[in-house]
Amino acid sequence: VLIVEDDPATHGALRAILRHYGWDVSVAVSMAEALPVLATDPDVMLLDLMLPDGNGAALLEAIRRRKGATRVIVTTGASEPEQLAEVQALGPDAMLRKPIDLPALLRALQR
Amino acid sequence: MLLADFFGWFTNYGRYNTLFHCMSEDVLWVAITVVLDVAVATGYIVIARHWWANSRGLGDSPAKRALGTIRNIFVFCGICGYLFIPVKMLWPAWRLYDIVMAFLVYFTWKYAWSSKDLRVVYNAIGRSEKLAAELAETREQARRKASFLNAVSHDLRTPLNGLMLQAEVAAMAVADRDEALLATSLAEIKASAGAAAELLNYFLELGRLDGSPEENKLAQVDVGELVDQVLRMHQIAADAAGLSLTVVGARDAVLRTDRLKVERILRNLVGNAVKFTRRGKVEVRIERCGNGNGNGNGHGNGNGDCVEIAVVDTGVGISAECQRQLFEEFFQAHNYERDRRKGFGLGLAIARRLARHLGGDIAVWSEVGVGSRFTLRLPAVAPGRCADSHGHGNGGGGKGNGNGDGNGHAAEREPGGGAVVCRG
Repeated sequence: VLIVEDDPATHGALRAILRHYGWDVSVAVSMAEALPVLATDPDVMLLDLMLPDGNGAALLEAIRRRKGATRVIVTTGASEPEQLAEVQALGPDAMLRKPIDLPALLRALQR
Repeated sequence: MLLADFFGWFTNYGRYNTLFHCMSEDVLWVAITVVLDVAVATGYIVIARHWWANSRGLGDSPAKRALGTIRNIFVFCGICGYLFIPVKMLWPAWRLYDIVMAFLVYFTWKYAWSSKDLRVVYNAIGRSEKLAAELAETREQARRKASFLNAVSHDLRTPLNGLMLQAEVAAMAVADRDEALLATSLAEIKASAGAAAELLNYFLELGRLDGSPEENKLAQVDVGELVDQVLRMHQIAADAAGLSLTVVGARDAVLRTDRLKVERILRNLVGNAVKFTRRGKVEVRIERCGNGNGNGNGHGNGNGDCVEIAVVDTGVGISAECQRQLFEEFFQAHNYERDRRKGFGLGLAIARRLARHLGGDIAVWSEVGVGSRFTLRLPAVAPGRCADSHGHGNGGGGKGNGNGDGNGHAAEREPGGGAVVCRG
């Protein structure tokens, strides 16, 4: 799993939890850090859309262009219906609203 | 009378025209013609004046442009009418012409009289322009409120998200008896909870300031002493960064204002200065301003109308673009990654509201790479009610204005009880 998330408490926790459940985890806190890791075709990317160096949507597009097998789970802090619709329009494999519900996350990962 | 005779009379039997009458000094008919022409011209002038006086000062709008077009058509018709004069001079039917002119005079003056009603039209245009501006302002406020709430919601979700996930980690750590993991997750929980609580506090404070702000509790405030106190709070951080913290200027300036609020503003300004300065110094300059300058009694205690407290740093500076948004909620010039540990971008928004509530304001000057100067300008006396002083009054009228203008803003200790009386 590649976790792209800028909040240290969140990515720290996700790393610990996912490792506990047996995933091989790498973390990127920005677009710049995420791009080289993407080249290794991770199975799943857990993507926060609000990143310091740009919108995570660009990463999503980059993955779609690669046509790899990477599945994308978008996590978003947005709550407005329009914003959620915008995120849906990007076509992620799954979308999770923050605060992330752990069982839902695990279900989405196992799918 | 035969019809031919009737038209013949009107057309002067084809013999004369106005030019002929002028040449033959037929004074009566020439005078009638001139009077009629002048009357029409005067009517035009009256209409033009009404038009000008009412449309003056209105902003540009489609309605105003439409009315302007109508006016231009009339002006054009009027000019065409006057172009007709030379033709008339040679036209034999000059009596008919004068009857037409009489109608023209009648209608011109009728319209001249009613053209004062243009005021109604232009007032309506003015009102609708104002309403449109107000509507735009309301929409902008609504948009800003929505984006503010969005930011609050997002910024609350982030620490909450961290909290919940770290709680899972803590549970896992307990189950695995992994004490190191438990310790780190507890530290993260503490940080996230702290961030959430801090955001809520800021949020509540902003809401209070926008809604019904606390009344200012006025007391005598020694600016120099207050600045020293604020600088002491940041001394450790400044020492760690190798910065010098100094105060210069009118350290003896005295204000009658809300001490807690000024302290909060200064703490924010100095805190920012220390945070964004890598090397060099942070200097607080106190200056009296306004025309009460230098009226002192020889001890330099003459209070000006206001005091400026400038926090000057040699830090990273703020670009002109960022300066415009600097006082907006959730704007952070140097936190593009929006790390909540670097604050929420509410400090300056709150500081400016506090300053305005004290009757002052905060101004910013900055140059990237050179440094920044935040100037807090406060009036000598803030609006609000008198409060029990906490002994910050220096006891006695020593700081009173020496020029005898009777401003007794000093807090004085009563001889007996030590209670402080505030003489507004």
